Amino acid sequence: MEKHSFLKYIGIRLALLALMLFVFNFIYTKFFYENDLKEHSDMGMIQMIRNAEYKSDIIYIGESSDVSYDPSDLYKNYISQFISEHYPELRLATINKKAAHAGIYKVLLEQLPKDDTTNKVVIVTMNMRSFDANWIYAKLETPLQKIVTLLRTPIPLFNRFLLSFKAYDVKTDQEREKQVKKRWRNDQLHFPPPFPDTTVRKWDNAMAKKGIIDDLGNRNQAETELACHYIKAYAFQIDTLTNPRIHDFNEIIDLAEKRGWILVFNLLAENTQRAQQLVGDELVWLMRQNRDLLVDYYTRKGAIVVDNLETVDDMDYIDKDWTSEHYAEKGRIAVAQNVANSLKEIFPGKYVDTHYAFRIESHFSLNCETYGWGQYQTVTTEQAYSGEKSSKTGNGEIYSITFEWNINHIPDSCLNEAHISLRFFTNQLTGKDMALAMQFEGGNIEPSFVAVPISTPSFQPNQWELFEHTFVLPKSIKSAERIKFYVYNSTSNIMYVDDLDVRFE
Amino acid sequence: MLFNTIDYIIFLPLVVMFYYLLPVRFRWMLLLSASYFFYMCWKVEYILLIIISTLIDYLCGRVMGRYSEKKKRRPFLIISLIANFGLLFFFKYYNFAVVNLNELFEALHFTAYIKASSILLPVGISFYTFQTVSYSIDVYNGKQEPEKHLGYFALYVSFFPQLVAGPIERFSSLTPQLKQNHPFEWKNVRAGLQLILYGLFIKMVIADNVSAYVDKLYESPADFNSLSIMSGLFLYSFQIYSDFSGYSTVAIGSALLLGVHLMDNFKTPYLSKNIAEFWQRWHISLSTWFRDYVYIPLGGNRVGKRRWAFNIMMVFTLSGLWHGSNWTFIFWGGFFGVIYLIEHFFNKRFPTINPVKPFSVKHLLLALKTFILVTLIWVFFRSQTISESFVVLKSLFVNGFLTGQSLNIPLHVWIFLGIFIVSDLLLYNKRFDTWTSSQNFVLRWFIYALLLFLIIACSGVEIFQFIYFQF
Repeated sequence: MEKHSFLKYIGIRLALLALMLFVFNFIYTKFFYENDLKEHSDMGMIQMIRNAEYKSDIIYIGESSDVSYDPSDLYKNYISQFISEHYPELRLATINKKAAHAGIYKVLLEQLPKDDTTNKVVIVTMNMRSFDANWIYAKLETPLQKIVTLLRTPIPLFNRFLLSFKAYDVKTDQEREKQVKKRWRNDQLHFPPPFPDTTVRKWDNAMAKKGIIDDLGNRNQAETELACHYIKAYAFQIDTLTNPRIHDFNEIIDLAEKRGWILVFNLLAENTQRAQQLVGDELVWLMRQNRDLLVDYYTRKGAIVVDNLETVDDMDYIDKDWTSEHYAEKGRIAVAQNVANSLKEIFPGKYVDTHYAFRIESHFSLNCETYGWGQYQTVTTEQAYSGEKSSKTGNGEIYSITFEWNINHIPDSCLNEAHISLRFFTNQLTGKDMALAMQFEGGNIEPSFVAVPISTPSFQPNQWELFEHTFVLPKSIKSAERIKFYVYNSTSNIMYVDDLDVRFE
Repeated sequence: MLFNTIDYIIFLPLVVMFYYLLPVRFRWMLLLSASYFFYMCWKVEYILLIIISTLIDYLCGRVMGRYSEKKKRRPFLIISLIANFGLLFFFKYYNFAVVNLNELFEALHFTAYIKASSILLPVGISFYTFQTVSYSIDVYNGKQEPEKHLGYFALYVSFFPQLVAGPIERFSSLTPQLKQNHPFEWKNVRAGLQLILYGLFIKMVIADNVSAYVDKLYESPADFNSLSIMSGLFLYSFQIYSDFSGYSTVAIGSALLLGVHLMDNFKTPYLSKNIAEFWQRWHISLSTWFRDYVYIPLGGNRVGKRRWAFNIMMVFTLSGLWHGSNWTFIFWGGFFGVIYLIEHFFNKRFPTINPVKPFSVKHLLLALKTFILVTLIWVFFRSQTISESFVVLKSLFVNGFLTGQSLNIPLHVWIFLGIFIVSDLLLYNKRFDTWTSSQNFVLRWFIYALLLFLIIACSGVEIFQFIYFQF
């Protein structure tokens, strides 16, 4: 083949290939992308990003610390909701994903529309442990990276190509473990006073060998293991030049500059009291040193850093035998208070004080406009009876927004009946597959539920309808720990639910 | 570096581009550097093993070349064999031997205990060891002149397309091609790209989508109903086939981009009429290796019946052992040997007079029989232990047909599998590149479009390692 005709031959084929890819992208985006997001990513989170678009003044992005609560909490609100309650006039959107970190936040924040001109405050959760090797090389990193990959560019087919050809940090659990162990072995810890254990490995071994001895002179194995765990979680020193998390937060700062956002980093509380008690001053010294570095480094870069490191008291940590940033209600309220305080200058005159009386209640209602109850990822702006949002069920999303309450926090005199009313919107009622369910959990009884089909005497398709039902509560209810009410929809028909009202009598 | 990763998608075109830009005399350097880099992407240190193996076989080959008498060559062949099989034993079979010895000690109430090694198996060691051993034996037998150029010899051992999972090439076939001046030829590039496309399709769309269901089955086989077990075994037959033949096809395609023709490793094996034919169509480069370096030296079929049966069993058992250091593989090879012998004696007793026409009813029935047998034998290949194999087989026959847990294999997996089976039927005794090139422009591009779209949009993303890398 002559050179000229060969080039023509190749040119035609390349053009055909380009056209093919263009068509593929259209087909993929139209018919496959949503399914992939559902399968490999997290539709709840995608939904949160979509909900956060345009309509919010504040975006709170975080991980499980935001949503975790103690089952005995009277207030199960997210940290972000507590913040929101200080600014009732402002709209706050939450995006959260378990085990997420700045590398993930950056990609999620990039998904927010560029043409949104709302002056936004973006509150980014800064978890100190996420700077540690244990988290950087965590096993959960591979699934998180899949999510990021599917959202990486505005061309869905290209994102899927990257996912298919493993163009992301994909490693086996064993490889991740090796990475962590290597860091524990090699990273030197520099203390001002002479301290013999200069690596995590040495310190961990020394602690395991020495053990924690109780007052009777016996080795407390559980406490010893926990102490070792604290060492592995907090014995590190952040190097701003090499730590990948620093790089991720820097990129968030760059993104915020481009988008004109005001950035607030919410440096989460860690259990320094327990660290001190289990391991000693050296570990707390390291935690404080990392805190000082982060506050100083990012303040100089123009972000507002809210230092919550020592905000939460030991007794307000939910996980007693593990390191986590999961706080009981008082802890979440305290963290939220500090963040809310930092926003006062940004939103002058908008701040209000809140007071949480830890009281017993019997009447609850939710119109999907604020956060706090379960299954919040089902909340959508597609339909609403009151306000702008409702909970969308069906087509794979089986459970609606869920009322969940600790039975001990309901007055005994009100544990005879539960009157439920709700508004629903659907094109068709299908009997028992669309039902209102009451469920008991925890305590001394097996989880159980009762369901009644949702129906009305004069059902009108695609109209908001009222549904009411009274459940007679069983006598054994006090044996259970929690009670839940929700709409169950296992059909492919969409049903929107709004204004869920629960009254115990 | 895996073929189904973005790294390879970038690496391969760069190598091909520089290959054709460089003068012929420098190409071996490029390919050798690329091959070593390719291998070091797994674990840098293990390149030393390849280098050691290369140097030993190169030197043994050179020294053997000096002597015309076999007797004088023999010590150097022995050095080569000890070195190669010694490395293979240490990295692959040491722990297996240790575990079995410890069990034996325990049974005999000895107090001795040998510590197992924690060293990882170097990827592809079984493949390149067999390749170098074949060279040494050929030089010893005078069939092959020793290679004088260390660079070309090193490249023969490590040529990246087939380094980690074959096809296991012979020196006489591969090295002359590596030395040859290959001008850029569009027909080679086109055929190479076609093969890479098809190879990636069967690996990424078929094997990687099927794997999750097979894994689910093998997690707790006794819990599933027999229809699900049957489906899972059926899926595994296609998983292992598409996984391995996918790798080989990409390897052949990649080499073809450089003008190098590697041997075909698979020829629609599930259309084989019997086990003997199956092994002529499955992992051909390994079967022919065992034929040439084990079966024939043992006397082949020019011996008595019993000895011949022994030879057959020896070849299949060793082939099983080659695949992995576990009794499951030995059983797997052994079962193939037994069925091979049974079929042989049956065919001798009831010979078919007329040849079986392709796709005749008889052919399809025989192929179905072979497929069922192979599928059942794969149970030993896939199981972690012999007892697990028997649990799977027992559950298949004992569990209720529909009662019990179901695998719930989604429709799209069956559709992908359907596409693969149709393509495999169309490719009976043909290769994808030659078959596709004979189609008209519209059909050809429709096939490209379909495969490309499926690879990008429908690849499995949970498990993607190649099964044969563990060997």
